[in-house]
Amino acid sequence: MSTCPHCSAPTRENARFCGKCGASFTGEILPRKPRPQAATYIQTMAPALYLWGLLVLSNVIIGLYIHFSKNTSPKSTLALLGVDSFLILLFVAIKSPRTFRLLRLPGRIPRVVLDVLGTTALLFLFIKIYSRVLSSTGFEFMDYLPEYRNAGWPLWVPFFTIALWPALFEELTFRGLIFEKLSMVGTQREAIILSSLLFSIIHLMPAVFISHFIIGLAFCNLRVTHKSLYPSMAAHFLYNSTVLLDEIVRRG
Amino acid sequence: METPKTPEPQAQEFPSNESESRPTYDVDSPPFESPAEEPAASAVETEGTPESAQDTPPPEVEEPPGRPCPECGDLIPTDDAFCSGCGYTINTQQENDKETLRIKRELASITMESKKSSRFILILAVLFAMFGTVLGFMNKNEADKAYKAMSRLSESYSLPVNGKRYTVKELRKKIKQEMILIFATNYFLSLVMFGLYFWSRKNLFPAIVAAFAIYLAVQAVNGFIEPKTIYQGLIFKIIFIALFITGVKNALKVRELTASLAKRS
Repeated sequence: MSTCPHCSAPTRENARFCGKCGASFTGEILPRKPRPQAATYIQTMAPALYLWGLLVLSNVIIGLYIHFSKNTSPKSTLALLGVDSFLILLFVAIKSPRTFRLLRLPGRIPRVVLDVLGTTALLFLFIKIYSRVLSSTGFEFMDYLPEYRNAGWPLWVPFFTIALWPALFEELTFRGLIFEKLSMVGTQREAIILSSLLFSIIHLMPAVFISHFIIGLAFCNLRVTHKSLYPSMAAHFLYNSTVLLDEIVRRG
Repeated sequence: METPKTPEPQAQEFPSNESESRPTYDVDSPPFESPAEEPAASAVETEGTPESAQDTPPPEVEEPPGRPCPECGDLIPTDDAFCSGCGYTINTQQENDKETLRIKRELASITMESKKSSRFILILAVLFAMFGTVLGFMNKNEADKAYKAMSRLSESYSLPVNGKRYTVKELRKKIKQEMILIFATNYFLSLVMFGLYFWSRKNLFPAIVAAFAIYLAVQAVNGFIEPKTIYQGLIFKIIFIALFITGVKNALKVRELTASLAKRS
């Protein structure tokens, strides 16, 4: 049994520090102060907000490019998709790998199918009424297909670039990363409202700010009830496709 | 968790706790003693074990059971303040109280700070209303001029505008719609900001994130419609964005401190 040379309290055989006064016997530097190493709220939220800001920025840059170059080829849409999905994958992989865990098959498949189809049908009905009301007040709704028609691209391409691709990546971003980070610093209700708001705003079209907020709420509902991203991805894809099909039917 | 290699970064990271975590020998012992002390200590440890075993009274019974060290897992006797294996400082009640007090003080100062962000949202609401009124009336003047210019034309006469042809009747309707739209959008935005201001007084974080997002969206949409608005008043925009970012940071800090206070009590 040895004693501490500093406070002469008895110490353990192979002690490196005095248990009473904390003095170091081996000349080692000071021990660490106990402190939880958890990320601060600011560190938690930063990736979500930065990703959102970068997505807005890329949208603005491509939008301005289209505006100035008068280039209406769908290639610029493809470029935007490429940049955005790269950013999203990068942020999710580095800053929130847990989000990938949401990519799992939900249980109770029949219930999921029913929910997805029901959500899609309701949203389609809603957007029909909404666009009818808004266009009567002078808002102009953009058609998606003319740029593909003018460029002579086949009409299955927009089903990929407008329906499928954004469905996958927007869900991964808004119902995945952003929702998760928001619910880490606040309540789930807040996460639902704020992620839907950010989702509606990223489209940067004043006419759809309100409608896409409600659509975001519906997708959040799917994500919360089934704890998976697949149902909301499916509903998002189906909804976008019905909007495109509707446009094809309307415009012939 | 890795053991620290240099003391400096630790000290920088937690300056306020430095004095608390420092063992007493640094503070109390006279400086001339400490250099001599440490070699002696290591000497005792390396070669002098048998000697000291003879010198000191027979060893006490096995160490009293304590709790495991959260840092290295060694058992720490209940009345010890430090871990003898790694030097981890165990929080005492007094230290806990000090920390709670520190958090309360920080919370109070940041809450004061974050009230400014709340007021900033209110200022934005007023700005949107003023801006909408000015823009709306400027547009109304233009619209009146256009009406005058068209007054002599018949309703079915068609004019080229932006590459498309519109009849005078359509143009009149369009001008009127645009006028209403400018007032309506800006007043609507102002109303939303007023709403967010009241929300922010109850719950700053979601309100300021929403206000920030809406502000950026308005700037982006304006930029799409008229690209030169992007660099108009750029300095104000940068200041506003900086204010928003500080607001979001403060709001998150308030939340974090509130949560850690709740955990403590």
